[in-house]
Amino acid sequence: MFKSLVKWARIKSPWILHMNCGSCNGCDIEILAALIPRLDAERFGVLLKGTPRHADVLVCTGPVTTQMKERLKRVYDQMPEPKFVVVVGQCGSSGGIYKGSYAVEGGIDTVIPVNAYVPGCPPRPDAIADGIIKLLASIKKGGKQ
Amino acid sequence: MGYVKLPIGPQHPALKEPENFTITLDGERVVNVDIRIGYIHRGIEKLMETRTYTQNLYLVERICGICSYAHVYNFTQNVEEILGLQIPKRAEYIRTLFLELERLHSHFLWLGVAGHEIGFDTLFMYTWQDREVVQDLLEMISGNRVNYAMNAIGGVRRDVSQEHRKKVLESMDYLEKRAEFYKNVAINEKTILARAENVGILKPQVALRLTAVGPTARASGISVDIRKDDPYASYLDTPFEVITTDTNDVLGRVVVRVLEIVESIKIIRYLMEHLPEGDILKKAPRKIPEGESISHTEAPRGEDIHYLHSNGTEKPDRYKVRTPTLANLPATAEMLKETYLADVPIIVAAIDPCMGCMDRVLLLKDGQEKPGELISGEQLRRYGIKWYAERGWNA
Amino acid sequence: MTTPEEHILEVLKGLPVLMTRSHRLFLSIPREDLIKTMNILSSELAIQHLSTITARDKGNDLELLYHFMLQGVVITIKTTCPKNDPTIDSIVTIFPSAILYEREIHDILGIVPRGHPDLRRLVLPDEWVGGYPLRKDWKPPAEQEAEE
Repeated sequence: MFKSLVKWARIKSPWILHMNCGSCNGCDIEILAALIPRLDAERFGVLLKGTPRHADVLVCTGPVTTQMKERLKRVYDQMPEPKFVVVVGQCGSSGGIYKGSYAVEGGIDTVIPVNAYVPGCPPRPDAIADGIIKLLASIKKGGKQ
Repeated sequence: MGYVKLPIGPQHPALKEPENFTITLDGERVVNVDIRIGYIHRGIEKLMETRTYTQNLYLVERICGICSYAHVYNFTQNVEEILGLQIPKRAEYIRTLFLELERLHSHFLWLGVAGHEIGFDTLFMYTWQDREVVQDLLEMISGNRVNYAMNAIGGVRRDVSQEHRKKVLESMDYLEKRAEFYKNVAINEKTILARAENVGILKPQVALRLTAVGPTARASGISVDIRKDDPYASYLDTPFEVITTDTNDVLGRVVVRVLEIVESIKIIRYLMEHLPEGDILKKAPRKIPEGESISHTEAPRGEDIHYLHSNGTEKPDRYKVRTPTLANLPATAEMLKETYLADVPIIVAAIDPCMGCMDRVLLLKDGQEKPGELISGEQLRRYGIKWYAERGWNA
Repeated sequence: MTTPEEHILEVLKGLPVLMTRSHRLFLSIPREDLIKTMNILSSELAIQHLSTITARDKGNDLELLYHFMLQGVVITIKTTCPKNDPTIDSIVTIFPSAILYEREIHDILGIVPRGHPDLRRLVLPDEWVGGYPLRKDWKPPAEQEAEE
């Protein structure tokens, strides 16, 4: 009973935390653009939070730079279970255009487990909203608890 | 009472990008500031030496997602200067159009972020909604909203059609009305006045000495604008004013940007009405002869200077980028002193920092500060680099 | 009315100033003369705007380029220092905004500005041990280790 209540709450109000791990800002402005009235991701209950301790979904952008790697891990650890990670953008998915640089790790999934990828450089705001909604749908189906 | 040291960042709700401020406080008052950046250093300058000029077009664009076009423009201008390539006039006009559209979207974006930082989220929603109009234009012409991939060496890749022109002009009418509205808001809205007036003072002498650039300098009454001082693209043809205010505070920076929106609209109208006919692209060789070139543009945030040294191959020998945010940092540290903690986010936001741009920077302003305790991170073995151990104060 | 370029050329008369195109001036000097030249720029031309400092690897030498701006004219002062003695006089006392740029070239190319007040790492992480990445003979640390 309690479990299903929590699950319901999680699906109806996924609070997200946005983290830039070395992105060029392109993806970051598109994430914000997904929250403005035109798309209004808030109608799905998506709310941008300021602290990892309140967040259910971590939205990451950018190839992980060596300086950000440890910080990304720390933020991920601070999030309460169950937690989900959405990667936005090509360079967060694989390292993208920065692959081969001495300062880049390449891909969020080299550091923390990832649940969903939204490719694109940068993806459109609709794609980002769609990515988060698809993640929610998969949780609803039973995915990771 | 002793001073309190407060770390803000790299991940912090008030900052959209990773950066770290260590603020020394005496009660509520800021005594000293340490700014540390470099969290998103991606090694672009080295990476560029390993890629061809065509590949670099796209890499340069991704120095920053907001002022991407200013960087590409600089890059192509440098390469074309070494080649001695004169690009078609129509291409110049289209490039200028993109430079200005980018300024529009960046200033709208900034206005929203500034509103957000002072807790005025309504403004954020309003400006970002209007920004979508500009984004639609960019998408209509270039096919992409953020990294436009519009430039090629020797011209532009897509033409502006008759319908595009009509749509751009229509949108400008709409945006002009909105800009008037924001002008009114910036000058009369109590929420903004209360938080922005006499906050983050930067005196003109200090701004000059620390080489502040762009709207930050212009809000301190310094008339510096590369578009006027060293006209590039088609700015020589285009009539426009350099906006300055002399209030030296955050409010001045708001006003400068709002008025620049109006100027940009004027420029875009002029460009669309006087768009010359002709080709948009000239063929350029793959190999660039030996030479060097400096290009600087007035990006939305200020002077953006690029240096290219080529060695006769397909790849650059050295490429150097200095972005406006880096130039504005010493001034920011100056502005933050003697202010209140609550004003820190808006003062920082007022220079329109773009950490993605700045990628290579780390600034520790004050020499007297003791470094904090060292927390050694797990050492990485990927690429065999013993990266990582950081200074941090987090629990 | 004289253009800014003419004014600069007039003040720097006697020095080998090269004008590549309008608004672009280059001046090569030996590194011993750096401070002297900077003082001329600062006092006689009243330049305050140091745009940035570029450094590049020329093989046996490292070249430094100081880009200044006066009324839209970019004046570039070029000087070199040998790789086996990569030191240069710091210009922070004359142009305070050089503080960051000098730390950057120190970090990525290993050029030591003499008299710089604060030479901590600028770009790279504090524990970086991989050398100076912008030098041409630099290899990623993995390759460096493999060779040893």
